[in-house]
Amino acid sequence: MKRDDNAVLEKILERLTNIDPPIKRLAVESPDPAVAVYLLMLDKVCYITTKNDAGRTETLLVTTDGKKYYTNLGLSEVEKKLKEHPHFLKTSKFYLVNLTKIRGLRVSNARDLWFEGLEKPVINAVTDTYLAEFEKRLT
Amino acid sequence: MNDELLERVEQITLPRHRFWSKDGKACKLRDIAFFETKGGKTFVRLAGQSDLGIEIVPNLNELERRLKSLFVRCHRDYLVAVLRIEGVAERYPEKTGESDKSHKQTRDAADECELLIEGTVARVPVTSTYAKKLKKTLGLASLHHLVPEHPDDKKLRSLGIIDFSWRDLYKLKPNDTDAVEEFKALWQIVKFGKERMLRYFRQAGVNQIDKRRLAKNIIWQVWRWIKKGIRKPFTGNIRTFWYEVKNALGGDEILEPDDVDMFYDALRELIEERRLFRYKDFGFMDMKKIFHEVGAKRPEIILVLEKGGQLEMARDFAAEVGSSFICLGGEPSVLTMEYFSDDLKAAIGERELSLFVMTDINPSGVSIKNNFVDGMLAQGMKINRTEILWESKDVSDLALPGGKVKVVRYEVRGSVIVPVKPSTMSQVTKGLKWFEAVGDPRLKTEQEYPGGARVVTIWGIDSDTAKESLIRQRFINGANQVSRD
Repeated sequence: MKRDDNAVLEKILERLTNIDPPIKRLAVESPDPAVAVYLLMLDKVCYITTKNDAGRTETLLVTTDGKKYYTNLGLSEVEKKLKEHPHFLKTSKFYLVNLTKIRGLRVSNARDLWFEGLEKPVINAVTDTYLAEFEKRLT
Repeated sequence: MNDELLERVEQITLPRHRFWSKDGKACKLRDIAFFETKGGKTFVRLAGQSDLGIEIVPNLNELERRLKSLFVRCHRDYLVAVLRIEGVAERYPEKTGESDKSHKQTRDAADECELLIEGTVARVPVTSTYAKKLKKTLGLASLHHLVPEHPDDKKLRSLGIIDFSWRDLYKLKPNDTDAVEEFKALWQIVKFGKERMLRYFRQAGVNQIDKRRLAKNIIWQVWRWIKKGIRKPFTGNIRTFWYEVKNALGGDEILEPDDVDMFYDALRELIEERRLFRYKDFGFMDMKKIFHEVGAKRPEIILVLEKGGQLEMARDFAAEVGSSFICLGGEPSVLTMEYFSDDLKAAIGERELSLFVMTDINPSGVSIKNNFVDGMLAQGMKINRTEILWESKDVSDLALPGGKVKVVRYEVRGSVIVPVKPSTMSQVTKGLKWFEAVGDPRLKTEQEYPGGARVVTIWGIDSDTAKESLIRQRFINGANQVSRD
C-alpha cells in the first residue's frame, strides 16, 4: 500500500456514497389515512420546502410524479437528517433540492430550477448565499 | 477506512447475489420482498409475487444473521427487506376466529402493526418482540404515528378520529359546487362501505368495525363540513342526526337500532367531555326554548326553577324585576344552556350573573343546581352569586307531611346498612350525605320491626309545595340587593 492509498479509498467511498446514499427513505405523513407512517423513497424527491397554505406550517416534499408529501419536521431538521445524503443541498432559506433531479435552470433574480417530471419551474430556488456551493456541487 | 469501505461495497453488491431454491431455481436478493416460514419450511416471497413463493434451505435465524445489513426481523415468521418497507399500518387479523382473543392478546395486538412492503400487496405483521429493533432500523421513534406529531393530529389520534383529507377541505371553496360534490363523493364516511371502514376503524386485534370510533368520526366530519359550509346544519334535533346516520349505514348492518345510545354517548363525549364543539354547532333545535328567556331590564339576574310546570310562575316573577329566567325540567340540558348562555352573552357581555335557584329539596335538586352552575361556567359565563330561594326550614311542621317525597329507604342490621329496593347502595350513600348536609331531623324517619330490625327512610320535599308568595318576596328582595351591591 502506498501512502496516498487512504486518499484514494476516501475518494472511492465518496463515489460509492454518491451511487448508494446511506439514507434512502424519510418518514412522512401517509396519503392513505389507514397508514400511520409512510416511508418515502428519497430518490423520488425533487425538492423539499416549507408551506403554510393549509393553516399550519409544514415541510413539503415534492416527487418526480408531482405528488406532495408532508412532514412535521422543520426544514432545518430535515436538512440535518439529510446531512450525509450526497444528493440533497440547501439552496435557499426555503429549499432543499435533489441535485440529481435538476433538468434545467434559469438565471432570474435568483435561480429558477426545473425538475425531472415536473412541468413548472421552482422560482428563486437558489439564492445568492447558497449559489457558490450549488454551482460546485452541481458540476 | 477499509472496514467502512468494505461495508459499503457489500451493501451495494450483496443485493446482486443469488439465492437458490430447493429445486434449483435462482433469484436475486434485490428481488426479494421478504422471507417467511410456514410449517417449518422457509420460503422466499419475491416482489410482484402473490403466492407463497419458493422454498429455500436456510432457516430464518440463519438468514437474519447472514443478511443483517439488508433484512430485518419483524416477526417470528418474517424477515423483511429493509429498503422495501414503505409504510406502517395498524394491524388486524385476516383470519376469522381471531376475535376470540383473550384480553392480554387483544392488548398486545394493540402494540402490533403491519408493514407495507413495496412490490407486494401482502402486509407483514410486526410483533411487539421485534418492534424495538425494527424502529431502530427504520429510524422511527414510533410505529403508530409521525414524530414529531402536530398537536392537532395528536389530539385527534388520541380520540381515534381521522380528519379525512383535511388539506383539501381547507382549500375547498363552498360555492364551488362541483368541487364540493367531488370531495364529498371521495370522503363522506357513511358512504365508505364496510371494507373501507374496516381499513380505518377496525377494533384492535379484532376484524370488526369499532362502532364507537366510527360514530365519533362521523360526528367529527359532520361538524367539520357544517363549519366549512359544505353541508347544512340539522333542522331537527339530535335524533334527526342519528336517523340520518342509521339510514345511511343500516343497510350494510354497520350500525343497528341498538347502537342509538352508543351514538348519543359518543356525541356527548366529544361535546361535554372533550369540548371539541357544541351541540348548537350542529343546528340542533332547543326543545326547551319556551322555558327560558333573557330579561329586558336586568338580564344578569336569573331565576332558576327546577320544574317545567313552574313556567308561569317564573315568567311572572321575572317580569316584575325585568330579569331572566329558566325552568330546567330536570337535569339541565347542555344544548339548552348553550342557547341560553349565548342569548345572555348577547345581552350582558362580560357582566357576572346572579342566580336565584329553587329546586326540590332532595339530592337531585342539589345535583340539578350544581350542574346548572357548572354548565353555565363551562359556557364561559361568570357567576357572582348563587342564592337558594327555598330550604327545608321554610316548610312548617304542619305543611311538611303534604310535601314529603321518599328519597331512599334502607334497613339497619347491627352496623350493616342494606338498601331496601328500589333504593341502591349508591343512592343510600348519596342520600345520607345529603341528609347530613341539610341537617333537618324531620327528613329522616325510622320504623322498628320485631327482631330488632330498623328501616330508615330519608325524605325530600317537592318544590311544587313551596309557598309562591315567599319565593316571590325572596326573589324580589334578592334582585334589589343585587342592585344595591
